[in-house]
Amino acid sequence: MQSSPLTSTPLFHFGPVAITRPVVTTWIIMAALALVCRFVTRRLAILPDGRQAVLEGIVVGIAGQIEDVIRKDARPFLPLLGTLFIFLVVANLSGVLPGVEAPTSKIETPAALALIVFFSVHYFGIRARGLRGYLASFAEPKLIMLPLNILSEITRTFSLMVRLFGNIMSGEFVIGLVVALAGLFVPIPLMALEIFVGLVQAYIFTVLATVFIGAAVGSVAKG
Amino acid sequence: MHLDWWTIGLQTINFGILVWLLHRFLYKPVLTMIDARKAEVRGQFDVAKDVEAKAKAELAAVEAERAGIAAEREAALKAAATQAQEMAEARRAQAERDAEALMDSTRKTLASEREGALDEARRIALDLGSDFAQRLLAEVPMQYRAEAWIERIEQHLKAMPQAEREALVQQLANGKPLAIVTACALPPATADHWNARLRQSLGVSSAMTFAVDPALTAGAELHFPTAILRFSWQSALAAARMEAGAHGQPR
Repeated sequence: MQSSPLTSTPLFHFGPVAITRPVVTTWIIMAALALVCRFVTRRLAILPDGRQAVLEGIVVGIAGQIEDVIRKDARPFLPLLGTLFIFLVVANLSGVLPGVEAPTSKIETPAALALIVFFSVHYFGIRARGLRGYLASFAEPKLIMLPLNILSEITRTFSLMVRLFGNIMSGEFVIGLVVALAGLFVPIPLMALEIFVGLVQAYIFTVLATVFIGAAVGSVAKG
Repeated sequence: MHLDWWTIGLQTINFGILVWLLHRFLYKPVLTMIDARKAEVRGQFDVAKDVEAKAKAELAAVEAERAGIAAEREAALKAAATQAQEMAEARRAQAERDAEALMDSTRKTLASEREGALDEARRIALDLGSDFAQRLLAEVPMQYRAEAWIERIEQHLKAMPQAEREALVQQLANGKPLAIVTACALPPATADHWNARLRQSLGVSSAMTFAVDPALTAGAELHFPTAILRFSWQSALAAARMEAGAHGQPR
């Protein structure tokens, strides 16, 4: 357990770049997801078996959720938002494994994801409306709303980051405290709660990102 | 609070790489497979629609053919009914003609048979009447019967035109005899009486001979050399039979 939950200790350095534990954990998660997906999608068939059916159910379910929010074809947004949800689920739940820290329990990973969502929102907004149309959307419904809209772009991104980081970090922090104070099996209910919180936070982060993108492309009202 | 910007950058890159990896190994193959399945389902649906359309077309053709068969059957039945009606009419007309011909033939046959029966009845009646008359006549004395006959002969000669009577008399010239034939023999006195009265009626003096012919039944005949005057029942009955045969009724 680290001295401060807000800082990441470098495991090793690659030149001037410090490689921290969340980065390594993320690499492992990336490798595991890529290998599992590669293995499962190696032999897809028209008539799916059980594994293929589960995989197709996950993909179609995420796409359906995106379409329900954006009310447009989900395929252009599926790689970003689907990956966001899958990564957050795996990353949040990885903290339950012994000796593993969830990458999202450190501020850098939620910050990186929030930054990606921030820029993706503008990318999809400009692609859907054009640069002038997208910029003009900041002055809606009145010109006086322009500063508030710009400010909300920053604050909601910050809110995304802090919400995810705070929930995951606090869960792990509480579990660590209970383990230190009460023993090995006492934090099990808290770990179950942490699993639920991890799933909920992954869903909330992804849905909010979807709503932001939907508002940027004009299919969801800003609010 | 300290932010490790290298970690933020690396995590950003990592997430970008993960997006690419999952797009490459998850979304693309799964969506491709789903699209292929949809295309196959759509293709099967199209094939099913084609099969359905073909089936509907075949059904329509079969129904049209059935309708044609029904119409053809209706027309055939109608034609057969018309033909049967015509044949029945023709047969009925033929039967009526045959019946009429048969009735005509029967009427003619009946009329002919009735005529034959009537003729036969008339002949029988004549024969019977003649027989009765002959029997009744047999009971009358000969002299009375002969008197009646000679009176009739005299009346006939008297009523005869002069030219005919002279022609008959002429036949008795040169002594040629007049033969008197009766159904039964006349007594001598009666024969003399007849001889005298005939000479007076004819105005001649020729010899007269008497002969008997039972076929005359009753009456007498005057046989001139080339002519015969018949006053017998035989001739009367013959005339009656001829009239009955010619006119259906005796006069």
